[in-house]
Amino acid sequence: MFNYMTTDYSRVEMKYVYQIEVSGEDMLSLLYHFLDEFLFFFSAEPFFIPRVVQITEFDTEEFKIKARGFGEPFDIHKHPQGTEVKAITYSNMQVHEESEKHDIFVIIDI
Amino acid sequence: MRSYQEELKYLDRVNDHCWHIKKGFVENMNVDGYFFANSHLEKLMFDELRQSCNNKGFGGFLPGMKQIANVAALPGIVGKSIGLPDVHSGYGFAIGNMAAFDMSNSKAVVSPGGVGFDINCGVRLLRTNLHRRDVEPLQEQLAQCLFDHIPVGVGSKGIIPMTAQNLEEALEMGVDWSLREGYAWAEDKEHCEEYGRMLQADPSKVSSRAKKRGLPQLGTLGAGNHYAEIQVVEEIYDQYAAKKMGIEFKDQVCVMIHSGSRGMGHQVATDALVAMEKAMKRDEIGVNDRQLACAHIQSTEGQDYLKGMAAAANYAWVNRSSMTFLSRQAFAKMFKTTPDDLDMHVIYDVSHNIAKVEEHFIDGKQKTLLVHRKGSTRAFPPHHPLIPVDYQLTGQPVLIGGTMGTCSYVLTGTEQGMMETFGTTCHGAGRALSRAKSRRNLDYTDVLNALNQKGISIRVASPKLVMEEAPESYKNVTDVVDTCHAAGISKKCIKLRPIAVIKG
Repeated sequence: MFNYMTTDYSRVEMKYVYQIEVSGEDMLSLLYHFLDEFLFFFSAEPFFIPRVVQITEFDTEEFKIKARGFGEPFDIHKHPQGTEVKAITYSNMQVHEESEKHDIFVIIDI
Repeated sequence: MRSYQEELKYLDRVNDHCWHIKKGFVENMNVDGYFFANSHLEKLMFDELRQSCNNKGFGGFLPGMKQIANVAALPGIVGKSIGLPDVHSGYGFAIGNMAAFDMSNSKAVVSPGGVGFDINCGVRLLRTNLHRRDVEPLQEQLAQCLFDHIPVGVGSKGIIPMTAQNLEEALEMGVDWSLREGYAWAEDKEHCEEYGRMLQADPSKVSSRAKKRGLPQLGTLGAGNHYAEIQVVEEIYDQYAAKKMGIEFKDQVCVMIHSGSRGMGHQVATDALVAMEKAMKRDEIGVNDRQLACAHIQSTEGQDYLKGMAAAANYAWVNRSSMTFLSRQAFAKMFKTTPDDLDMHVIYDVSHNIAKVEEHFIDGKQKTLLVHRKGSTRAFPPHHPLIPVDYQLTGQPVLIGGTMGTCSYVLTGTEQGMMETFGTTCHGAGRALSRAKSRRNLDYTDVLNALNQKGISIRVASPKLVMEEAPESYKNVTDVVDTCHAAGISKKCIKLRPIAVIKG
């Protein structure tokens, strides 16, 4: 998602850490809120673009996630503009947990 | 999962430009689905379906036809779920999908998925009294000047000074705010749907998250398929209607602005989606697709959404008005005169992502309906009470933005469209390739060169992604418009061709 909003992701430096905490009603809504929270802090103060996101707590029974992003404020003079992600959608959202490597499908609105 | 061949049994051709989706194509359909397409466009629709059957539902997009059918399964839908000729796979509703819900039915719903994330995304067309010859020597400078005036692309911030208090007022007043602040002309209002202000707007129903996203972005174009273009009139099909719009001669210069409610609208839609998921459990509303979250129109969630949506719609009008102001300034500066002397009036401003309360006739009876238009445009016929006096005899102007480097059109609404599609027609070209496919198949330097060869000046914030918006990534807008014309749901009036494109 963030790799899409700038066309040179390597220009994003890890200057500070931003913490988020989200919860959902089920796995899909948790995934939705997790992505939406980071999108929100990109789109409004502090306009934060993470380079790396680390999930620090993941509760699959109560559907809660704590995560921190390492990055900096998005700056159009420093980061080549990509295109804008408007929103996260539930459209055909899928989480496949059967195999060892889980597959996740999310369609974002651009 | 049904095979592609089995799916085809639910699809019937009605005539050369219309297909019928029969009940049973998806579960719980209350009404039938229809979509408009000529032979070129229908191929793309069937490709979407085939691809999804091949994937066996593992990832990927839901095909537009399935989405039209899922909408037909929503409670309280009346008549039919309609796909316009530019219809393609979207989120929840297909893009280019319209559906009407009976306000008198307590079970009828409103769905944010039927409006889209970019609430009141729309197109505005300004005219000038300039000829292509006047602009040609200055074309590059003018494109640059426009690009310097209008903030574009992801992460850009508005240059019109705004405070939190200003924003509250803008959400409530729409174009009236722009008028009061001196950014709009009094005549602009008359040529917007709803006169540029939805009266049911209630800024208190807009979350602080949405306001936080909206505040820095007011007066910005955005990214994706949004653009500002300098265009020239290429062909006039209907002299009389064109004259009413102030289009007098071929090669007359116009400015087209395509933008919406930015992060403000996106967040209002996201918030409503989350609130409605909860309400659906309480009110036991079932839908086929989670992105079709909805609420009874009269429920608290339904009413809150409609008030918040109206506020976001007002924001979009202020946004387009702000960019109109900036475009007028840019032209005035380049031609060392005033926007007034350049006759830079708004021809019309359409909303192509919106839900509205309207009166329609169903089986000869007048009904109050909540009409959802997602990626489709209102196209009211001549003499309709809700269109401005200037267009009473021509029908409502419908602005169809093409894709970067292709033509755009002005259509007018028809009586037949009023009867067959609830006064609705297409909104643009509609995607043919996914963004990922465009990136794989096209090279951005080729796309930029092709524009250059056509004599189109381009200023774009993200040149490396320009192939996603290349004409090859979209349906042919002429096919789309011709299908609307042939089906009689709107009528061709003017064709415009771009000479400069400003994009995110």
